[in-house]
Amino acid sequence: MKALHAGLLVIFLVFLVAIFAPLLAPFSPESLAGKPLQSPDKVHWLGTDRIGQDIFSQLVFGSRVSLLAGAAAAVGATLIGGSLGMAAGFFGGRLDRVLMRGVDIFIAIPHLPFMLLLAAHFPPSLATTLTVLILFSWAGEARLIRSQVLSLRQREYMEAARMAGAGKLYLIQRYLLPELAPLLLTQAVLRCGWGVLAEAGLAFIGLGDPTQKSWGLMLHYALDYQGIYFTTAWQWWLAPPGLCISILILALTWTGFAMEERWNPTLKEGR
Amino acid sequence: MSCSCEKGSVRLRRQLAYLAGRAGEYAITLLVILAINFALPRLLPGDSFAYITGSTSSADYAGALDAHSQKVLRAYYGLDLSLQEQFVLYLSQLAVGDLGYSHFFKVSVNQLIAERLPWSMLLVVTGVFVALVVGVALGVLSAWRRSGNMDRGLWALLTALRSVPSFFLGSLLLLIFSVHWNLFPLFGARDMTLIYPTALERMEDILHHLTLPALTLAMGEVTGKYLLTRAAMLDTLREEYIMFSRARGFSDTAVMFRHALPNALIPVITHTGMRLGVMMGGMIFVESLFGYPGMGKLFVDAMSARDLQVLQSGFLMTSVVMVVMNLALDLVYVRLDPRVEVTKP
Repeated sequence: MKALHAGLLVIFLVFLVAIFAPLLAPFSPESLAGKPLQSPDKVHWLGTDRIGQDIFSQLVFGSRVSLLAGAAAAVGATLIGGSLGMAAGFFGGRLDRVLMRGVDIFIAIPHLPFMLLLAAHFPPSLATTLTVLILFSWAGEARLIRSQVLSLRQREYMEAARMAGAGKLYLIQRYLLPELAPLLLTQAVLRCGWGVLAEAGLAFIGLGDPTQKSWGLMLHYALDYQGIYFTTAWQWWLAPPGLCISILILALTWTGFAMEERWNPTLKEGR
Repeated sequence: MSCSCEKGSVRLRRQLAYLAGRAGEYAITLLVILAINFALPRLLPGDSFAYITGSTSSADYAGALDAHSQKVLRAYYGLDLSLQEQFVLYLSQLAVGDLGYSHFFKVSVNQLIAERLPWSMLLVVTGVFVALVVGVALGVLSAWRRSGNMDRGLWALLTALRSVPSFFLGSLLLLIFSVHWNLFPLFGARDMTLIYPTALERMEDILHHLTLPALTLAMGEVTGKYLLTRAAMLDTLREEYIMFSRARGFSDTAVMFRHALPNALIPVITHTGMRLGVMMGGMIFVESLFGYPGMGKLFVDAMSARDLQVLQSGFLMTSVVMVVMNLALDLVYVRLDPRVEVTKP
């Protein structure tokens, strides 16, 4: 359970930073707060970037974009993937076949090249990024939820309720959703980690919203600077956002795995 | 015909039917991709001529092209035809292998892809191979010593590794191995200033350039394979036939590698196929970080230049490569799993 507590603590801290960003950041992330490429000092805790923006302030505000991206992915996967998977598993038949074939095809398409192709048609903005994340978040979830529903509907109490004349909606509300809730929640946490990673990746290859500094976009600009490896700039410009992304994703992963273990006792002896 | 022979032919027929089914699925996937490629620039609101020529709006090219050139270019791209005619034109061009012309690189897309694809294949195949070997080996090790210190340590280390974005991990590797220790080159796939006296030296240089990018790509994939191998091994080790093997007095190593591993590998192979799409993303990150001249770098360059012909063809060719690699994995799968049935696993 150590992993769970450590994970939750990190997520909570990032949340606090995101909420109180304007209070924590000494400068606006967009303002030209100092001379370009300054090393850390008392005014600029993590120095400044190539155009003189304060890196620490960017780091503080970047947490907002990352959490937003994670939330978009989690909500998209749970709402779209969850309901499609439930529908496919519960109603079965033709709907199931069509939906699952769609999922297979969608998973077989190389996602990032597809995202790049889409992005070429839209200007980079936070809304575009979030839409793309939601668009690509659901397929795996749908498949997972479907297989879980298939096994749940075989249970005897479901059979009994059906015999007693329970309607489909009642069955879903009364039995299916409560049984699925732990899995949906665990998956939401893990997909949240995927969302954080995906946003950072899109920003890294230049699809980020230039007016919304995210951790991925900071990496993009840092690596774009030719001297990044050859000066000490990497220590305060490259490493902090990279570490922030990694630690947040690790916290989400460990939290997800720990939740999985807690609710699925068969996994316990494995670890 | 003897009994075992007949069984063999039934099995072969099942395997062939399974492979045919998979090939059918891949064909549908490719058709969907063709449809996306065709529809995206044409059905989105806005001027498809602007999209195709890489301009942002009609005002953008109006100054650069007079009415006559515009007309000629529109006819060249078939934009003066009806949608149905355009679709037929698109398919017939693809059928003869014409992927169009890149307005940014000023060469045919065929030539671009012919130059870039081999590098990406080298990178991705090496990455998959390294990730599979290392992931499976560590997974077996972890399952063997389950709940021990090494198991816990490996689990923590590898889940941590998975959380580091490949482009950040790769930049750290560059910093340590290329800048600090000067062991590996900073970018590229080979030394452009050298003329190699022998084929061996050429190969050495290529491997030298390949090491860090392939390692970065593999590190992102190793955790999934490790976790899956470990879980599958733990499952398999509980089976009765394993207990029977132990009871018959086989050594631990024989039980692990000869009896348990082949069955535990089946889900790992399936997973590897499903991850290929994600790996194409990893390829894009790694290539653009290491300046590796493959398809991924081409994608990013084409995107910033809004070169739609290149993006579309790259998307298509990446999918074709994925399909080919998936078919190769299906062949492995069919050999590993004697229970292969006509329906999907």
